[in-house]
Amino acid sequence: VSDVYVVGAGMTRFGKHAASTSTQLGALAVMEAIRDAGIDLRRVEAAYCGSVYEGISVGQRVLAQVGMLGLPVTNVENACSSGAVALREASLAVRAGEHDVVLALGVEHLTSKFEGAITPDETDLETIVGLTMSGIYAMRAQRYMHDYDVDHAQLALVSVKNKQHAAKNPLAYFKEPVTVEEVLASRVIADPLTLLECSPATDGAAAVLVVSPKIAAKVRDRCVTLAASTLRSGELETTDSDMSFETLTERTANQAYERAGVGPEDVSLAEVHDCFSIAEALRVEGAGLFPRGGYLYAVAKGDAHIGGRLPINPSGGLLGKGHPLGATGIAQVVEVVRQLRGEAGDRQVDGARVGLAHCRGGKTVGVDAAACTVQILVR
Amino acid sequence: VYSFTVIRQAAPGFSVPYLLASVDLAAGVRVIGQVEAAPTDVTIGTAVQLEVEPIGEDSTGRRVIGLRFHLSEDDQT
Repeated sequence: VSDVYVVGAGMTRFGKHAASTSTQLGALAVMEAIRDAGIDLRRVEAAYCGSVYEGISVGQRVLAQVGMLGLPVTNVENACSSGAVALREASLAVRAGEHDVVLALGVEHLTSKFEGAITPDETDLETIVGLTMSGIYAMRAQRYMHDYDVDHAQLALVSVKNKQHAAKNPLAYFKEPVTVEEVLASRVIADPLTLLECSPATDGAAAVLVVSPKIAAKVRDRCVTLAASTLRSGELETTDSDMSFETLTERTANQAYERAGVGPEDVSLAEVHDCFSIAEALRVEGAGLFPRGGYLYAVAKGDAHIGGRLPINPSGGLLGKGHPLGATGIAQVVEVVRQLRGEAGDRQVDGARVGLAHCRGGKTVGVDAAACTVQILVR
Repeated sequence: VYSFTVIRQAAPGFSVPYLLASVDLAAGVRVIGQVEAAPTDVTIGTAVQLEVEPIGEDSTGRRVIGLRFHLSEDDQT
């Protein structure tokens, strides 16, 4: 079993791209990743493309734009973890010794497909009775606030922090910080969650190149080790399930820590799936990065800000950067790679050595999620 | 009621706002459904009763039968 390295990283600005298609955005991200790697695109042996709503063979459509034809292309759909799973598949192909240079990309042009929020599968019994994605997280927020005795203003600080980080990221959708008062006063989507606590529907693409040790040896100064890439599917919800603690995230993260040979105490920064404000608390506590019920107090102290003890979502996260579904998991890794290389500019986390990326998404009747992924990268 | 929310932005076809809850049944199953009650009448721990009944219409105008909760007559909280 071979080690795997991420060498090139590229992504477009996340936002409303009315004049571009997902194919064009994907091509831009791919070209940037290949240029960043310093590897001839003819050396790329295979590609995996994550997307949710992009239709038939989007990966091939993107690659045709940049003249990459004939190579094996696999399109991956796994809800909000689609991009992350594309990267995992790419890494497995290298680990298995099948390929030396594999492209992982993610694309989504959400604003051309939905007027407002995305909805769960409309044939699901829970959707039929009126469940929405924001409704799921609103119920988790109510339960978390009840179990840990925290209030909505504390929860809103997650949105404030991530939009503050996004203001330092030229590729993020949100350009300006917001105040707690503004978050609380924005339109309620599902009590208690307001509009500014929901990740914005955006368009974008991201790409990374993963390579074997043989290739990595030639571009060592550009490389970050992909030490673990784990995936688990959702778990049955029973009356024993705890909505205010994510055992799915815990199991996926623990498997990743074991594979990578590091623990949560070694992590220098994390990009986690903050699709809603409450989601960030559930992710970081599930992954063991903060104590149960303690995260919002840590945010209030500045521990999770850039410059704090353990910066969470220095890119701005989904709440600040935007959430073009298929691109999200790859974009998280793009940020981690830039942080570990010391190329993150105003957002740079000092001494970053170990980065974690977490995605979790989807839901089906009686099951808490579709897919959860954790990637650990080490410099 | 294990947890609840008031949905104020929904998929097309739903009229908002409506109360939605995640409810633990005595049989050990947790299910999601709307609650026929004022938002102020429901909180974590409120006792509700499950009914299977018409809950609306689909896009072709056919009745949709689904799960819906009502406030419990004998409050067990």
